[in-house]
Amino acid sequence: MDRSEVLKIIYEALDLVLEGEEYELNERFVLFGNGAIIDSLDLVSVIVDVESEIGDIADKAIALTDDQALSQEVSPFDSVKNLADYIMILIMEE
Amino acid sequence: MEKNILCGTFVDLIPLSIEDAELTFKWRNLERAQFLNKGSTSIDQQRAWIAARPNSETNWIITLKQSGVKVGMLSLININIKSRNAESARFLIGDEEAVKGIPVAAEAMKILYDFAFMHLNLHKVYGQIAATNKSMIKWQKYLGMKEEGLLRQHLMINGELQDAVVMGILSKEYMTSKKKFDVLIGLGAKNGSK
Repeated sequence: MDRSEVLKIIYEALDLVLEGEEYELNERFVLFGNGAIIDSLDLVSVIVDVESEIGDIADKAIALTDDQALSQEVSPFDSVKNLADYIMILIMEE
Repeated sequence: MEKNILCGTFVDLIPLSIEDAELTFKWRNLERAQFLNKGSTSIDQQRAWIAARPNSETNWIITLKQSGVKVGMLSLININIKSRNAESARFLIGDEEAVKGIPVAAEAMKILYDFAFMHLNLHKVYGQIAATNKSMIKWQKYLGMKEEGLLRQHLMINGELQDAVVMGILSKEYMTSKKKFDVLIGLGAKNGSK
């Protein structure tokens, strides 16, 4: 599974929660914290969809809300870019 | 029942008072409140409803800790000390704009669970969610609730009877899912939520 596929999954999950909003999806899109346009209800929805879709396609269960996510130097939820990078790390792990 | 303020990192849960009648009346008339039971039809009625809350329930206003802005409501009702269970209900974020980027919903629910399981020593918290409210069902499942059944044509929403999904979480299950709440709140702090 490559990074562009991961990005596509993240964008699709965001599209679902952003229905009716004006937005532009790119790698700088903020998921959580200052500048975010989604709330924690929406963020959990994105996490559920992304975990599930990645699990199906990469045939590997990933968890985006565990200690490992919290211990990252840069938060995976700062931006779409960071989330995609973090997911690639999880996919590559043995 | 509970008269104390319950404090979190981003939000505090403040006991609902009659002074909140106007604000909560406004929230309950928002489109996003469609999944709640039909509420009062006037502010006076809302005041009377708040004044009549029994001891078997606790109703809170979700308030942003830093600014003091009131953003939503949440309740623990039908508290049954003998069977050690209660129902989480009336969960509504009224000020959508104010909560963007902040783990408000997750922390409010975590404070409710901490109160139910640790302070009241309950064994179970359950709730009913309209079957069409898919995003709330998804959210609650991710954060530990399990589907326990379906109440057919149970809720009158927008003039139509809808099924209600019954969901519940046991205290020991909460101890496992608590980690997810902590991570969401921790990530909020890391991302500079205010």
